[in-house]
Amino acid sequence: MALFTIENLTFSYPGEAPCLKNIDCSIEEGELILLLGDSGSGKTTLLKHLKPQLTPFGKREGMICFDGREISTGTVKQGAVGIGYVFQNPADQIVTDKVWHELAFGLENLGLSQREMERRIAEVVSYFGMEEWLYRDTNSLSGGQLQQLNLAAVLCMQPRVILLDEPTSQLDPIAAKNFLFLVKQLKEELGMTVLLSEHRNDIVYPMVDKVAYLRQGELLFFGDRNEAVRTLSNIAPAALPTVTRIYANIEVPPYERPPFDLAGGRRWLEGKLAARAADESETAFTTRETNIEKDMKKKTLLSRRAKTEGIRGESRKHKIAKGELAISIKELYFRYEKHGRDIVRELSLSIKKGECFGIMGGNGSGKSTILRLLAGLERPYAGKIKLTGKTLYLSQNPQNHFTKEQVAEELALVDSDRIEAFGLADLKQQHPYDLSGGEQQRLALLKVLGQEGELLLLDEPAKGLDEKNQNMLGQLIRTICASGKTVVVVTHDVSFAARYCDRVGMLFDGRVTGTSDVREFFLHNQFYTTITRRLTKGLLPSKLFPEEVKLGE
Amino acid sequence: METKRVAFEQLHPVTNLVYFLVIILVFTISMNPILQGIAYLSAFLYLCDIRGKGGVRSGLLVCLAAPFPIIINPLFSHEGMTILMYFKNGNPLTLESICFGMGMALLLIAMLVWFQIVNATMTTDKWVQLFGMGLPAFGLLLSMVFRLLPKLDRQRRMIKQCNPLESPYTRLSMLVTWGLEHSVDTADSMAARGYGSRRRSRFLIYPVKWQDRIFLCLTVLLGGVVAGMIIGGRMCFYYYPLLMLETEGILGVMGYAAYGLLCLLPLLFNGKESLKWHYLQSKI
Repeated sequence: MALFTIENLTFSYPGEAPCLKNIDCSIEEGELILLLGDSGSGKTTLLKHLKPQLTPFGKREGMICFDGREISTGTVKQGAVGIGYVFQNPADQIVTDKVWHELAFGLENLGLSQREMERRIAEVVSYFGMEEWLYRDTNSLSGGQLQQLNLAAVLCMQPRVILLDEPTSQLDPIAAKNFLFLVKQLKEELGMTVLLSEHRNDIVYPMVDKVAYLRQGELLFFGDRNEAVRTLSNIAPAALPTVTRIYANIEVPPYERPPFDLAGGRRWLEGKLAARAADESETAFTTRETNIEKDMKKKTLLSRRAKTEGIRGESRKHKIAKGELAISIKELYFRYEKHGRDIVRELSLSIKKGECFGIMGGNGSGKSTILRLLAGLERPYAGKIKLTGKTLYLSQNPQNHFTKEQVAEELALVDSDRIEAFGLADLKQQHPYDLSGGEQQRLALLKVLGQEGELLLLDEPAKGLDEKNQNMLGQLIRTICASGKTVVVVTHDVSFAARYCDRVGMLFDGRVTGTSDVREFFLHNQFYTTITRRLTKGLLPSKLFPEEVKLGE
Repeated sequence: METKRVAFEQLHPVTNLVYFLVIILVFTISMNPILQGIAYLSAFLYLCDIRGKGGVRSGLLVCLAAPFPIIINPLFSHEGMTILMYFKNGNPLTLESICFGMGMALLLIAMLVWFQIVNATMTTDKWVQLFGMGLPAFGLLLSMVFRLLPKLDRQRRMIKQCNPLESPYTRLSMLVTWGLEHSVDTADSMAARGYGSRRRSRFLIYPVKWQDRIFLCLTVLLGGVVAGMIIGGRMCFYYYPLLMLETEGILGVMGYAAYGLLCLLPLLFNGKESLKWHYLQSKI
């Protein structure tokens, strides 16, 4: 029997148009379901309807049954125990100051005995291997650890289903991968039912059973992930993982066995290329030797073509290369504590006027520190920074920049064309906190740009944004560069950097290494590159983005 | 600062608290420099044990506070019979007032080192459990405050860095808005985990163990001996009019020994536990 049955669910907030429309679906026990949709499509609202304690106020029609009973008639306790919920922001869900207390919090609410609580906490802590941090302060944990703690705290209550609302959007890629791996483990080892909304399709897609796609409150697709490829490739290709998107671009429907992960994708592409080569050789009636010769010729041709392609794309960058320096850093050293390690050492870097420079690197490599040094928020203990203008610093959290009660007040000094260009014109009456993540990011960027300064420093601007919002932000950054300002972006996001930066460097061991033109950088890298490149490496030359992959050439 | 996890910390908060109260009350009320000295030295040893070099440093650092009472007391107090010299205004400087200042200094530094131990031992979760014994809701509230304060402080610093030109008032209002906005999720998370659905139980991370009973008994026993001696006048020290130590033979010495043992109790307790550990290790 289905665990959740949703029939004809329609919901509207008071005085607004419906934000969920006629939703029908049923969720079986043991399934891992991926909930997709643009931000604002109603994913969170839908998830909150499945958790009685969180159901928002408004007008609701239709039925939601949990375990065969209407969900709103069940006792509060049943809802609290049977259905676990993990929210987007890792820090805000934490209630208490110690890890053990956070784990015990939900159990205390149920009024369990000391013995029972000890048993359950022991079980979950050992399952997750969290023994080391049991006595730690929750304030001392990283975002990834906090989110794992939230999941563990929910698991202590022994739920039958877990609802996860974009749980990794605030995490760095490695923490996100670890978290999603735990979710997969819960499904595989415990048979847990999971409903997950996520932007990181490339990681999640290979492990899900079913996919649900929401658009403006309508459930446009619900079903098997293979079937999803047929529907979504038409209506929302961006909702598919990169590998599948490329597959759907090249193959023709019906898509028999679409690949979801890289291994599958490469197998498919290799097969495809081999089949094509075989076709050609048959028609050309050539011998094996000439075939190889032809291959060689083709390869040189392709590489020559790649070179010319590169040069063509270079024209704008060429202009930058001639230009003067905007930022030059020489032999910089910095550490936070007197006896601590150097976060930045022997760092030399020059950034040209009008370019968008991306600094990439692992967690804790000091990427943000470099920006803070450039912004003058920290002081180096040796070395020199030369700036040709004032800096404008945008911190990781846009909310740090909001001082007013209304968007219009925040943007009092900005002319209306610009507000229009940033897509904020219709939101002037709103409170900054009521905007979506992407809108908040654009508002903070526009506000910071309103001040005087030529060097824009962006700390993880793409964090937590879906592809659509990332692209909007990226386009804006490009227009800012075109207007002569210099942009330095610190980011984890490979595809964002690959699309919108001019040059990229990798921060490692306190230094920026491998600085080069963005295409060269990502084409040269083996692992630290876009998924398209990893898919086509050795098979097709110089492809970074899904839309570049075509077999017709 | 690196602090070693020790057995004394694992005791029930009531055991810890009673112990600290007895120690501190004895050396403050008695005003006996020998008791204060014992208290200071044993606390110093304890800090060295749990923090190593850092303990030596913090144990010595508190001595910087000593000169103040030694200088200030003779300037204002002119009691005592041994006059050393006269100030310009005609008031006498007495040996006894200097000694009293020294006694005050000893009291001060003993207090400071013991508070460091209290601080290291009574972690937030111990206070939470202690207060929760009478008022469960207050215990949870305390824990939430301990969670919230560092979080707000971090955000305050972020806001300050991002908006250096804004007035402190604006920054405060930003912080309040941020705090309210983010507490919505916290409230949701509490509701989602069944808060308020029924009477809560309490998870005790520090249950009462047999070590607690023994430790508490020893504290009360030794503390009782010392208190008896002080009340009985066997361990008194007078600064005025003349310095005088009233110790009557064996009984007085026994009193000091009892207090010394009491002060070293945590150290001995930790030592015993680690000895036991080594013994068990060597058997494997």
